[in-house]
Amino acid sequence: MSLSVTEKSYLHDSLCLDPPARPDGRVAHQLRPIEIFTDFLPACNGSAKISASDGSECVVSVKAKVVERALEEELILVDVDVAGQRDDSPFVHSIASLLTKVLNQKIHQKNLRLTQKYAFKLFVDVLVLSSKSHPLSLISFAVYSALKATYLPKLISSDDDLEVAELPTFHDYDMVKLDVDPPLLFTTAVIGNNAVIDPAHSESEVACSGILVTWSKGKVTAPIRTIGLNDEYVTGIDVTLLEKSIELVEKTAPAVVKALDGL
Amino acid sequence: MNVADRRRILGPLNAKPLQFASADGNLQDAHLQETQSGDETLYIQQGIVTNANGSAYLEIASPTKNDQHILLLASVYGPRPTRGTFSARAALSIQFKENTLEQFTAGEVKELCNFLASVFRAVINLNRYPKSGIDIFLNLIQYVGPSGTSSLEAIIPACINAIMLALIDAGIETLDTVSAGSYKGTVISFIRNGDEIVGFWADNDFDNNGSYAVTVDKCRRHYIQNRNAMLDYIVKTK
Amino acid sequence: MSADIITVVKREAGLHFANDLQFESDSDVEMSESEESNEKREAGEGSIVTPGELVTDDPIWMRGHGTYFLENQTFASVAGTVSRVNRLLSVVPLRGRYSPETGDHVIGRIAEIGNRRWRVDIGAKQHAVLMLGSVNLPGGVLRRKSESDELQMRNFLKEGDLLNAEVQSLYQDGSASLHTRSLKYGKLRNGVFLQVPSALIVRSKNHTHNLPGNVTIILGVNGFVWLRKTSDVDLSSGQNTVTGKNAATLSGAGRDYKPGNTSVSITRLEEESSWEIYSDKNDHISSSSRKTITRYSNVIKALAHCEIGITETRVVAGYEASMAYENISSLIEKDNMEALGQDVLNSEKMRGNNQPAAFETRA
Repeated sequence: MSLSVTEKSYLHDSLCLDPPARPDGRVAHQLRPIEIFTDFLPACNGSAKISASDGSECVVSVKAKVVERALEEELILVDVDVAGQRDDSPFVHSIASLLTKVLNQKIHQKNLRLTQKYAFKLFVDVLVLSSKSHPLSLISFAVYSALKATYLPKLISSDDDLEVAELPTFHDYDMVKLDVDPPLLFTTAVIGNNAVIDPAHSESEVACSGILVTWSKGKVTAPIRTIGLNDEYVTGIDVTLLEKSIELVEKTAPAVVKALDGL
Repeated sequence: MNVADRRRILGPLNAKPLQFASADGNLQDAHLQETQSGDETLYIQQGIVTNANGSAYLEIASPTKNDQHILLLASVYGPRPTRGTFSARAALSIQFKENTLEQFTAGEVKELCNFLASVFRAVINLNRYPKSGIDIFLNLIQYVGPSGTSSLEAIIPACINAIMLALIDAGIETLDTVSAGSYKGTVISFIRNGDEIVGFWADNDFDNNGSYAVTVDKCRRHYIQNRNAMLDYIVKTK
Repeated sequence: MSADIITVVKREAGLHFANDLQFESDSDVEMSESEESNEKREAGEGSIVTPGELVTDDPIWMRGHGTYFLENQTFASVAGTVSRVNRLLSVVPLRGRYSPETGDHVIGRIAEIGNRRWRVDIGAKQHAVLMLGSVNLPGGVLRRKSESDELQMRNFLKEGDLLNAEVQSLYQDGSASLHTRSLKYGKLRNGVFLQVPSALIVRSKNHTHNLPGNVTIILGVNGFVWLRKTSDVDLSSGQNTVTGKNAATLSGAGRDYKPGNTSVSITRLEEESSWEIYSDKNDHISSSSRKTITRYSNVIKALAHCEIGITETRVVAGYEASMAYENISSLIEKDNMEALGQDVLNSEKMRGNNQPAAFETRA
């Protein structure tokens, strides 16, 4: 649903003020409240459902499979499905591709290693039930919670099986918690001379540019990218504003990680 | 007659073999341009796709970067009328295709197209073209990365430059001559003489000593080189 | 600034199954009531019925919306409250899309421009229609619509534009025909839009209210709400009378096309219905007004979250109660929203005035 010209100019002017007046009254470094619900899919190794205050909702499931390490390039595969978008749309494809890349880059393969020969391969399935704004940040929070709540079967056979032609065997019911430190992706919107985190739909509509910033292991890391949030208001942004966005994420991310871990 | 080889289709009896013109003369016309920009050699030719509204062919060789080699063709179709609902500004679509060797996954290609589209949405004056569409096609003819590797970052500046040249050839209104520079895997696309960023792509971490400011500065330098080479070419050929 | 950066709430383990809810929730009471009335083979006025439930077996009732008739018995086809007007029996759904009625003051968004008409999204089943003949055009309210007006329709209202209007009549298929032939209707400027369930808006005589803090609210019957800075028109129109005093300058004076500029203006009204009413430019709005508008918008969202019927007095009460929260940003937290809703209900109980159609909170 597109906004009217006057709505857009009202929003744009409000967000250009110093400090920015966001449409829901949030301060620049405040995210929308979210509700998380983990471990509810019995057939999966880990799952999380996340819902934001604007009604956006996202379900993530993690399933594991034992694979031969030599044969697999990537041990994590992400599949994204966004309600209302075609599966082959560039938007969905690029989100899946980006998440696969980031997760494989930031999660060390040794965490998934099972034996000399075998490893777990994780299949992360993302289903965005409804999304009003750019869903990437919400998806990454859900993936984070799901991976943190993932339990994998416990290995009982020897882990040195390079010479033996034997498949790994697992304990009947004991599970081991997956110990990983998944990255978080944040979106910021640059409007005028301001940068705000976690833009809502209306804010995205008038943003000059959106910036995707990754947070992993206590610092801002690549990938950092500009993303187009709308067609009308996109312009070039000042060099310093990119830095401002990065600083904004640096300021916010530790609290978000703490909140997500504190569950 | 019974000696005729029936396994082949020989064509009529009076057929003559194709004869190609000798390639010695007149190939070097005024549209060719080879520019040395920094440690790269740029070869630009506009308007070689005749059925497109604008096109540009770009060849980049960087002997210093382990013989990195890029051959890229960008063609612009439009602005042409779109059907269906009214839209106040032109719809932009960018398609990327590798013609020879497929080195990138489908997902990566989509990411690249999305990124390029977001760059050019900020640059093309889309408000001037209501109810129309602009379609841009990129053909990567050849890409040899440093020591045989392939990375998306390496071709993004070339893509941006090629599209910009093709847009100029098509006479489509843009706000500035956009170009991009890269430094150690970070690509930044600038306008307004390097004051404003329209696209930022970093898939690798910054250097530990070189921080953000250094990266931006290096990219800006590369951008200015690239842009000047493009402007040079345009001024000389027109 | 003590606002939290993010609140993350962990939902308690286990899915909420419907039969769990039945034992826990208070709605159980109503359930048993309706079952009782089922035995009496009659569901009284105002009682809640579910689809397929017998409402009455008395064949004298005329069957209205939300009911169906089978073997001399009337059943509910939607979940809602039973309403009886004279001999007409209908079930008003608790949820569902807005169904327009003649005379409703609604807010809509232009979805499409067609042949001499705009199609307007008013949150109903079908788009409403706004005919070119049902709007005031620059150059006098009463002039004929010319062919050049038809060609300029997008200059008046284009896709995405918001307007408030009145439902003039209903078509056979239930879709609405709107009109904006009054200066209190027309394009909306200087504010923000928000949407609440249409069931929460109570139909009343007046839907435009000037609130404390120099903010005007339009509560569209369809659940679309517009909050804007109070303008001179709002102040002068006072209670529902349109005097049409608009001191603003003609912003569209520079346009080359001005239909009707050859015609002689007869009344002051005609001069005022100029291009100004279709302007896309906002007035200057101070940052404090913007903050007040944001606060009101968060209050309305909180009321909607608590499923409290939205009226002018409740919005004002909520606004006063919200002053306890210095940061507007804290009003987006669920706990604070629920506390605010409770405050509004409490203050109402203390004052002892019974609002019509008072919805109870879910909590």
